[in-house]
Amino acid sequence: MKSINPVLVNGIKTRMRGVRAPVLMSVYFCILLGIFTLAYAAMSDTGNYYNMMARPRSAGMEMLTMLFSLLVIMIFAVVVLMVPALNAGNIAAEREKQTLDLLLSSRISAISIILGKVFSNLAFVVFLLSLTMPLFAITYLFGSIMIFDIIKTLLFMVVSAYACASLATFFSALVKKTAIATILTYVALILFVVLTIVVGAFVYGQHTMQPNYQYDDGFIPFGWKINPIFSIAELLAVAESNSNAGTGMLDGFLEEISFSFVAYSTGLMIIVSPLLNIAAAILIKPVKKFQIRMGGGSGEHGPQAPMQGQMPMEGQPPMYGQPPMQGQPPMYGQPPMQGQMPMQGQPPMYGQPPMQGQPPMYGQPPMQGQPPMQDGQPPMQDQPPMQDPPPMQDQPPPTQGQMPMQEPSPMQEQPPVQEPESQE
Amino acid sequence: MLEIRQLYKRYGRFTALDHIDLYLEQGSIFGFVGPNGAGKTTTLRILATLMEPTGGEAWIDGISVIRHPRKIRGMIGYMPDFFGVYDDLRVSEYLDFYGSAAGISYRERLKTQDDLLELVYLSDKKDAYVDTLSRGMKQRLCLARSLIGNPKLLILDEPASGMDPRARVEMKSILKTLKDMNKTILISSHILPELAELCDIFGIIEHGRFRFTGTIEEISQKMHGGKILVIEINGSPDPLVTFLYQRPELHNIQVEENRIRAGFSGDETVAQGLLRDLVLQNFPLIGFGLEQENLENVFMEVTRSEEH
Repeated sequence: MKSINPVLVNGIKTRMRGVRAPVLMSVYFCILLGIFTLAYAAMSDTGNYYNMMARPRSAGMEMLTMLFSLLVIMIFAVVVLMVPALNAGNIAAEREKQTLDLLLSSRISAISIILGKVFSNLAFVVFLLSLTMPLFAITYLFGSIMIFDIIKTLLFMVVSAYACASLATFFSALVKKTAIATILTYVALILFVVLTIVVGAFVYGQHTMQPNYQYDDGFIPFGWKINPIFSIAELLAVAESNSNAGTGMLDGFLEEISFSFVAYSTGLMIIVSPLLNIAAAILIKPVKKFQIRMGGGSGEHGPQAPMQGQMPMEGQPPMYGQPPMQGQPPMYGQPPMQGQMPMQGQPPMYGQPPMQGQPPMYGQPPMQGQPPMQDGQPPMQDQPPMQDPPPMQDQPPPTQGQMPMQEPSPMQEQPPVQEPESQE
Repeated sequence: MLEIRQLYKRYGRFTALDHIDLYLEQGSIFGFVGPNGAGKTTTLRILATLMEPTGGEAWIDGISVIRHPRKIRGMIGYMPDFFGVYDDLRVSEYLDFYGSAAGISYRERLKTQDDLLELVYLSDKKDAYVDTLSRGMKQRLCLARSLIGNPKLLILDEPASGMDPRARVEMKSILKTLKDMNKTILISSHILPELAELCDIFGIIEHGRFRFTGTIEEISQKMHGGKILVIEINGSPDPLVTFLYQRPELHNIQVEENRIRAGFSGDETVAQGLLRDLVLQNFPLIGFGLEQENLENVFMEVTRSEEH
């Protein structure tokens, strides 16, 4: 139980809760069925019209191929339109509901949150796709469509859904509002489709300009290879060529090229989507380990830390006296202040305590109350009137170095100083 | 248990935390008090591994919050100053979800769930949808959620904000129970009295720095060099005031009509002596008493003295 990603489980559970899921599913199925029925009816009526076209073929086969094509296009439209909407809230909505912090402060890793979200929504999409299986079964009925075509189509759809979901989730992690993430995702998808075609066309144009260019050399620009429209066209063409049916529009498509757009873009999406997931995870991660922290010394704290629990006196020298300390000046930016202590010019502030060897330090140092007071005081001492407690706060300045100083009792005659360390 | 050293956080040019230090023993309840924007939430979020400090370090049980956030997450329970709840989840499922998020096995979760709901008085709401709960209930549910991983350190950001008195009493008793379980608790609030009875130690923070730390008594002692003495007199206070000015144990003498308030340093014997002297001097006293420091006053005074 423990091993299952809780975000995934929770996502699947809540996705199916309430009225939204059944309504969405019903609407989806009704639309699909409606269009399918209308198309079927229309094509049966005008079967003769198609038969008039060149090749002799069975009207049923042709019809089913058409239906298959229709299905493919519709499912793809659903994936492209619905998946971004489903996923744009993955992180942004958690931020809006203020639950993201709760997740991030739990033991789930950022990447698990992202993957849990993406895959719980993907599960829902797969579920919707499975609703279309009866329709695919009909197209399969007459043998015009191979089972392999159906599997290939569904696989392409699922991977596309994953890619869209990853993209939407990335934007969701990037911006604060769900609505903006949704819009960004659609814009990105549209730009992707349009730009790959346009740039592809431009590249293709350049290619044809080359002196040694030969017609039909099988060159396909990269933009076209990754463009989903070509993949869809390929899916349709495969079905048509199998059945030897169809309008003939795409007949030439496969003959001219020996390249699978579907395989290529599916592969690419499988590579790119996880990268998007990782990017999203990095975006939401509150404490970024790979970041180089200023002062660098912090690394050493880890090991020493355990000692702190036990107030021991000897333990400390290593603790505070170490490299990190010297590192501090850069770290905190105020090295000079420590110098204030008239007594010892030692910059490493933590270095001092060990010398004094006083265990009490640990009890108190953290107790901030005093630090400000003490250093406030030294300057004040000449002017008795000011000594009332309140004024002390006026000199908050350098908070740092003081705690150690406290010990050097010479400085403070004032009673208030001692009291603070109540708290053991 | 908890140690903060020179913690420093800057947002752009704004310094939210200015090198604060803190040390807490296991089992103590620390009240983090300060006006809004003083740096309370920033500190708590850093401790909850939700934010990186610009500088400084913090350890919980010797483990660095900044270096080992994942380990820390298993040791803390964080309750932010808002309730994060999902719609479409029942109370039990809500806890179950965060329980699994805390890496607790299914069986363990079932067990702790009931205990936790009982602790926060929500046993009868087990199957209710989270979004149907009242505000106070949600707050308690969030508290239960933060407890689910059996954390050593509880970080509660404004847990009592917007609570009615009854809810506050309930929260108080819950926290007492937790204290008995030897949990270390960090509570923030912008209202000091809210925390007065809950906490062992207070830190008053302002502009990213601690103004004071210590128990209530220590804080008021710092402010007034001790307790407050209130003397009421039947008649003109002037001769009495003149007399009081000569007493070394009194300072900050304030007169409000026939009431005199003064900072009082010294123990009860000194008070006794003072009262005796006053009576011997035949001052027409009608009241004489040591007053527990009003927290509101302390807080106002602390923050006010900061202004100039």
